Amino acid sequence: MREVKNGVILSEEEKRRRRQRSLALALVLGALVLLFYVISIIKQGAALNALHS
Amino acid sequence: MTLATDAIVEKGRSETGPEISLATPGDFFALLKPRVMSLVVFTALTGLMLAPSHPHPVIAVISIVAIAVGAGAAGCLNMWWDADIDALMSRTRNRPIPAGRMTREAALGFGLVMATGSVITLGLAANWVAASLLAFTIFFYITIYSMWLKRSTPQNIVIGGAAGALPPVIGCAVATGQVTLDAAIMFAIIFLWTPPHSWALALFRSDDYARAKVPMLPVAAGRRATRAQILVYTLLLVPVALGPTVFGFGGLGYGLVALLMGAGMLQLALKLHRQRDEKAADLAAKRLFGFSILYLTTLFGVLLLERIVALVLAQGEW
Repeated sequence: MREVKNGVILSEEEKRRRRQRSLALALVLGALVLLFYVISIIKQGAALNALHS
Repeated sequence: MTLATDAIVEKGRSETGPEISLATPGDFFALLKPRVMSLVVFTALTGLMLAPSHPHPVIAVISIVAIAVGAGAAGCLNMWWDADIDALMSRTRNRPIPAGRMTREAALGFGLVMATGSVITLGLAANWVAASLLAFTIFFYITIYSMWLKRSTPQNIVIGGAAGALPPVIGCAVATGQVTLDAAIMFAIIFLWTPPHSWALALFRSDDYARAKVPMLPVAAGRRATRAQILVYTLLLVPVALGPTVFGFGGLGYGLVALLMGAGMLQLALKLHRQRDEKAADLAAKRLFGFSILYLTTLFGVLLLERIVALVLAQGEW
């Protein structure tokens, strides 16, 4: 049974996998920020082109 | 929460031990059914490229990724729903949920976030027609196919196959904002391809499906009836696959390839239909299953290649 006297104690393997998940999540969130930035730039560029033509 | 309630929660946890996830990013990726995703990417890209106009290349790439993630979300939610039968089938018992690497709740949350995010991203990047089609595809695959048809009728993959046939339609909608006849023909090709492909698999996995009480056609109607149905659908598929050449968005090269590959598919379906020995029938079913993947990949590959060559030549003429 897991030791919970001073809160939940994770094993080294559990800590390693949690780090992996956290890193993957951080990368995905960063990619999403970049993605929406790129979409906005392209859409604004298209709108400006339409305005000037 | 107060210190007193914290202690009660900790005591409660110590009775059973808290659930700590051992899932890796690879397990979450496996939930998305990457092999199905790759086919979705390929067919959606073909639908997009065959459209009369194209969006900005970066928008096109983002849209294809969104479609792929949406398809992955549908696969993930399917694994959430089918975790009980996945555990009973040798083909699927190593998936993350039945193998114990992930809880159903984690898969559900992941799938819902991916589904919502992919639809919103597609709507913002491309247009809301494409996003609506993607949302419908996910909805159809989970509620109509997974929750209803799969466990209740032998015609499950005939009707449910519509979900797998929609990616080229979505790709076309990304480019044009509407559903065109070309996209409808591509839909029809995949729709008619799905039964022989899936039933060939079900034939040599019929014990698995019987164990899980999934009424795939070999389990519900018998192997002989299934072999006959495979032949029927292949006979329907081969002429419909010539549709791109007939309607002008595929060239003569595509027509020739479609005829040759169709002849191959028909030959294998006939061979399977004529089998009387069950072991030989299983082998014939495996051959047909493998060839069916090559068949669809080749047809859409040639369509895509023809279009790319045409675009390159058109650019060279300027």
